[in-house]
Amino acid sequence: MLLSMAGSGKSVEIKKISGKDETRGHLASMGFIEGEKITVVSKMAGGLILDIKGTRIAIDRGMANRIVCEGVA
Amino acid sequence: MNAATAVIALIVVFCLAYAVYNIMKTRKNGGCGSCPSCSGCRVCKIEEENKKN
Amino acid sequence: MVIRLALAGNPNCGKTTLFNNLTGASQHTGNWPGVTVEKKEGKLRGNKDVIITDLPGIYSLSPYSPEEVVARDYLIKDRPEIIVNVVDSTNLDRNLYLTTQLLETGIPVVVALNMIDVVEKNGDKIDSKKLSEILGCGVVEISALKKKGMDELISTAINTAKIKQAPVIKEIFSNKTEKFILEISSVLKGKVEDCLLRWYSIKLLENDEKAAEELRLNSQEKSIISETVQRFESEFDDDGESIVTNERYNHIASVVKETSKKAKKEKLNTSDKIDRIVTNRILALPIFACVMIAVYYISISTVGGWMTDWVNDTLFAETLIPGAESWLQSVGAADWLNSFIVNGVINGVGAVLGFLPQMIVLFILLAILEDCGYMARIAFIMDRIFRKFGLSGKSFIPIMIGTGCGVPGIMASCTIEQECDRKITAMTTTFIPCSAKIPIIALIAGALFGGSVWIAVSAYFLGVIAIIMSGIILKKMNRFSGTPAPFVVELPPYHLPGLKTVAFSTGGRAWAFVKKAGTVIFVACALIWFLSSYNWALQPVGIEDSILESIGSAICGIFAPLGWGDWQATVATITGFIAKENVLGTFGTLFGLSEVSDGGEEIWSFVAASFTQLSAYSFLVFNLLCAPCFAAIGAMRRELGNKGCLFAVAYQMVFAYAVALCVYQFGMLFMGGGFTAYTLLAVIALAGIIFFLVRPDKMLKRKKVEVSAT
Repeated sequence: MLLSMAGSGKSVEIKKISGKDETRGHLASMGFIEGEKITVVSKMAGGLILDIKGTRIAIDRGMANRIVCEGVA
Repeated sequence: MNAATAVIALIVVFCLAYAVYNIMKTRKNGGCGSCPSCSGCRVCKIEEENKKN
Repeated sequence: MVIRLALAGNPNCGKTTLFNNLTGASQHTGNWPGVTVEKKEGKLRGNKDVIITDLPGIYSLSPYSPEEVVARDYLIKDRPEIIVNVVDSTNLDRNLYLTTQLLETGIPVVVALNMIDVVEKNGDKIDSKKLSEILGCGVVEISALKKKGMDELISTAINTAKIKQAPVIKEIFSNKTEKFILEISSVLKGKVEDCLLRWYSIKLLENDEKAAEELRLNSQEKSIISETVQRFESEFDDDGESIVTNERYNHIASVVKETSKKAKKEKLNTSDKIDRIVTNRILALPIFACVMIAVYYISISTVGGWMTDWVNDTLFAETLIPGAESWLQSVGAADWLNSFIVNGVINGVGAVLGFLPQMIVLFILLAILEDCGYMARIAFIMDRIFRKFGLSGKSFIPIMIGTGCGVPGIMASCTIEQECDRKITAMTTTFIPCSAKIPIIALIAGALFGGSVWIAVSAYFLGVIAIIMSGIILKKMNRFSGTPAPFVVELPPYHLPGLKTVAFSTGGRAWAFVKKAGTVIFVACALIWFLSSYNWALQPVGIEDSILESIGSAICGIFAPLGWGDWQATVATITGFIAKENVLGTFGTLFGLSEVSDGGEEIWSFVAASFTQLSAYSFLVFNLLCAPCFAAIGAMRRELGNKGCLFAVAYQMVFAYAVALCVYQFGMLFMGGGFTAYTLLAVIALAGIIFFLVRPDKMLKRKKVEVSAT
């Protein structure tokens, strides 16, 4: 599923990130890489707040649509 | 023109000249004064320092 | 020997705090990302031979954002003697990503494990000795906030720099990848310095175009390398950058596992709980609106307003002005000098300075909002709205800076990666009321609306709406079209605002306000006094026959449709381009010279007499939205170039005129003023605005056609 569809409070594992290379590079430098576990802290209509490697990152929905992930327990 | 007028006028002219000098100086440096209402970002302070060094 | 020491690290890792500690500077630290755009320099306290450079906060050395380019160019081209890599120890794995890249630059590195006190408090453990062994460089535990470990950090850094101890090269990638790095290294050998060999080899493997440009390879070398990279990518079935990134993180994961132990931590911390509420999809905007209303209510209508009233009514109107007047008379100064000092200087400069108490309260509140971490959330909240209109929340960061002053606001727009967004932001940042426009708002609110808070609040949100509308209008023009920048931003944890930070920020801004009143406003008021006290033959005359009156009258007809076509308001608007506070200074001087002043009334009643509520609001709207002061126009020229700046100023003037026209004419119509030729003009203006807002996006269509064709 897409990250934008993950519910608030859910932990997911990143499977794939699509999009332009430079955007992917930027995401990767902030910790968004395949296999990384992230938690959706909160969600609002426009975007998500994620817990990735212990910091809070806010991303917009369009960006969340580019991240394919899988729910973990 | 009496003495008091002359003295006060001189002081006023000096103040004006000093203000103009200050405006010119800060504008030229690009330091504080280049932002008319400083928001305290202090980028200018560093630039001033750099110029001095 | 001079040692150049570069501070590098992730955003919000405490770099600037460390910089202030080491240099004794009082750099502005902000609890939100992107505060340090340019690198800053200072000298080590107590040792002038060490020059410290504070690089902008970055996540990696890829050339993605402007901050990264600044940092990377400095490290690779200027090659400082030592890098101090500031690492947030509470977040090792993400911070070490940059560390591994810094180690590849071949420059001696010392890692400063910052916030080690927080780690200990959390019950976590980091084995810094082992970390030092694995990374191949010095590691020092510090706490920049509590000033712990500073001496050890400095002595380690200086020693490492003196013996030029470059980091031990560790093969952190998989054997397969290391083999490819070696292959590329053999091509580059001799082309670059040995210490940069590994750096460039890895960058080429990552398809880093900027690095390839710097190397100036010949076509034969280029083809060998591109063939190698192709083999590399097909072997892993992924693109080069992703492979390298993933392996880097794998390495870091193993490093972190070996060197640190984490105590179990609770799932939702306090910051998260606050975020649940303030970024809530329903509550976020009302909360933001309430916060802004509260800020203006406290600073303009109540606490700040009371103090301003006292300064204006008691200090100036009852004490300073009569006192100066009678003193000048008693010493026998000439009448013209008396008029100059009292009417020109005290009334003019005083009209501006009288608002200082309100400004100080406003500055304190904004500094608190900035420091506690809420400002970064506002950008995220606004992203949702801005995105609908083709801009991203990233545009909101310059706008927030613009509430202080438009000049740094415009300069901050350069952190936006997308060119079109950057240009639009630079053009529209000054729509938000900057601190120089606050006194105008306070004057209009006080003189005609009984100090109502809604005037200031409406001015603020008018600015936001003007930015959104301009976003829509400009996005549809060819030169500004493009998709909005993706929004990915780190949210710093909330913390209680620091007294020192708030005091510094407020003090700096208030001092700048006073300084400006003493220079630019002072000189401008003197000029206004002269122009309004003499005629073209330089004979002293009443204000009605003065030079200023003849100039103002000649052009004031332009503003008649806006409801304030008298020459005084026109002149005030024009002097506002020198600095927006001049609008008040001009009113103050003109008031002093006019007959109203004999009644001993204050400047507010003069303004109240020259406007109706509606025309005053229209005057306010025009002055808020029209072209900013010369300094801000200069900043726009630096960002947009000559042609772009001319377009921006023209756009702002036309937009301000159209909005003010609509406000006044429709207001008049609503109040039963009847339909006049000017009303028709307003209808046309409104139709024009609506047309530009809703006209189809040609670029969007073209893009759709392209997509369907492929």
